[in-house]
Amino acid sequence: MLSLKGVRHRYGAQEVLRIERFEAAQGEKWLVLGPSGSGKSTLLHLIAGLLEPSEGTVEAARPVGIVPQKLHLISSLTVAQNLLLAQYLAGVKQDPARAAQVLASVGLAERAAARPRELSHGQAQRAAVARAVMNRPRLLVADEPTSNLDDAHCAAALDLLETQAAECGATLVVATHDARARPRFEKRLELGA
Amino acid sequence: MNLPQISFAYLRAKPLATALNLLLLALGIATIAVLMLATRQLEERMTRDARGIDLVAGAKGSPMQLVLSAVFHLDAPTGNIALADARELAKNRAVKRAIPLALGDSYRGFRIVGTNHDYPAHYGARLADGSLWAKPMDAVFGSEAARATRLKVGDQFAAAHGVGASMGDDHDALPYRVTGILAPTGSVIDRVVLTSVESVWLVHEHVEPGDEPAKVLAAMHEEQKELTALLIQYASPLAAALLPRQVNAGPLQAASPAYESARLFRMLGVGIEVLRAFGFVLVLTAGLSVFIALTNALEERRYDLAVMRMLGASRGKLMALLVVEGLALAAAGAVLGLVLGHLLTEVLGAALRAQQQVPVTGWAWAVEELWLVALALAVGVVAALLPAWRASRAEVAPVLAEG
Repeated sequence: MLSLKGVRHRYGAQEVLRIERFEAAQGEKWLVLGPSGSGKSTLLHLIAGLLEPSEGTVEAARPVGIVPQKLHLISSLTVAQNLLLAQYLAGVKQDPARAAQVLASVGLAERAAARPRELSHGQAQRAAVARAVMNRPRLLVADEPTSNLDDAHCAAALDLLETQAAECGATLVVATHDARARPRFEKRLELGA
Repeated sequence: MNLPQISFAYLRAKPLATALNLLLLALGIATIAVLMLATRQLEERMTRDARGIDLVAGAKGSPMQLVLSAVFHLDAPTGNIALADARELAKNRAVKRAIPLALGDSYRGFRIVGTNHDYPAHYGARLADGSLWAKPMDAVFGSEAARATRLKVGDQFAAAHGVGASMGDDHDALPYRVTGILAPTGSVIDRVVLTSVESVWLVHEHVEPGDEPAKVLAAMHEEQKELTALLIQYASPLAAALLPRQVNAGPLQAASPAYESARLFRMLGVGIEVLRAFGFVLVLTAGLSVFIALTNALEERRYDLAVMRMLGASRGKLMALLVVEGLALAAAGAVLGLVLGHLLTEVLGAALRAQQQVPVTGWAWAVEELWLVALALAVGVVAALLPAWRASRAEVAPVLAEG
């Protein structure tokens, strides 16, 4: 479940986001569309609890899994350690079997011991998704997951997010300015510049 | 995963920087550890060697040289004293006990000390094999001297004239015979060869092979009989105030082992303090280096730290992560430094032992080393605190939004 009421967010005097009302039911898939600077990332950070809104309320089911635009896997750790780190930092009991299962589900079972620099971009994106779903999130948010991808990889990335969100029963919120994602989502939130 | 594992992963990811910081810290700790171990052992050894000897009487000259030669067997004697003067002093009421010493020869770098049975008794020496000397040219080896020369009871050897670098020709005509080997005492007596005073007189006479020692001794004039020093124990505390003045007023010189040892350490102390300060500077430099490394790492790791916050890490946990990193570096540097310090001390000790100097070993531990570990850990924590605090205050969203 996700609910935003009367949300305003400002950086200094500049308002970057204004949403009067937004609600998403558990398990729904939402696409947040908008050009650069429209507040998409700010919205995701508010949803994920990384930012407090300047005004209004944000209610989101926890835990939240986040796939950042630049993926940001920890380069000094292996892929499997990156997943276990998500459990450790969230205060969840570490479960290597769960990490193996999640990596298998994103097709990275053989790359568990690899370092992020040894992965292709596609593999790194799958590892970032795997990390985001490691703690069985109730809400999965992804920031520009298809940027710089060709059509085939764009479709694969969205497939992966949808599949993983469905497996967790999570609400999926994808923020992008990529119009190719539009047909796959019935529920859309359009943000202006 | 846990904080130490994450910290180690970051340290492993920067092997050169980690190694340089470790080296810097280890060198500082090692420098201080070597000084600590060596000076402590030297002080302990000199205190043990001089225990129970209130005064040394010998030929006029440098009092420190007299003490170094007669008590610690480190320096050349100041000269010889007439037996008659020594006997007169020994009869003084202020003297409880006077142990005669006649020096001048050595065997393979180990000094031959002509004395009486009071000398080994003074150091609590026990025989490991054989018996003490009973007649001239009998010799008893200290444990270290016996081990190094590999002589055993019944063996014969010829003394060399002089000690250390000034060794001259062997006294081949009148060989010594080993009658006993002493058990280790941990004192100066381990590094000398003991014999009677008469033995030392004999080898300095023109003796032909086959001459009877007793007849040679009987033929010696009283003026030919000399000693090098007397090790004196006072009969009463009052003697400390009177006897040195009395001795110095006559043909002999009096020197206090306690005073001269303290003076020696005061003289060495300046150099030791300079080196110790250098060690502390190295440790502080290492702390600064750790601080710079962690501060630079903050910039490189801003995304990692933001991601960790995104994944649920509290500000405290991020702070702890950097502090653990500083601590891990400091702990590893301390351990490496102590190992290096003990190895260097052992190398120094081996060099001193090879010259029959005061033995120093790297296999001894000092309680003060725990303070060195504490110092290193404190430096690590202090160096990490500011970067850690900055890491904990960093905002997550702006960093992630940079994309």
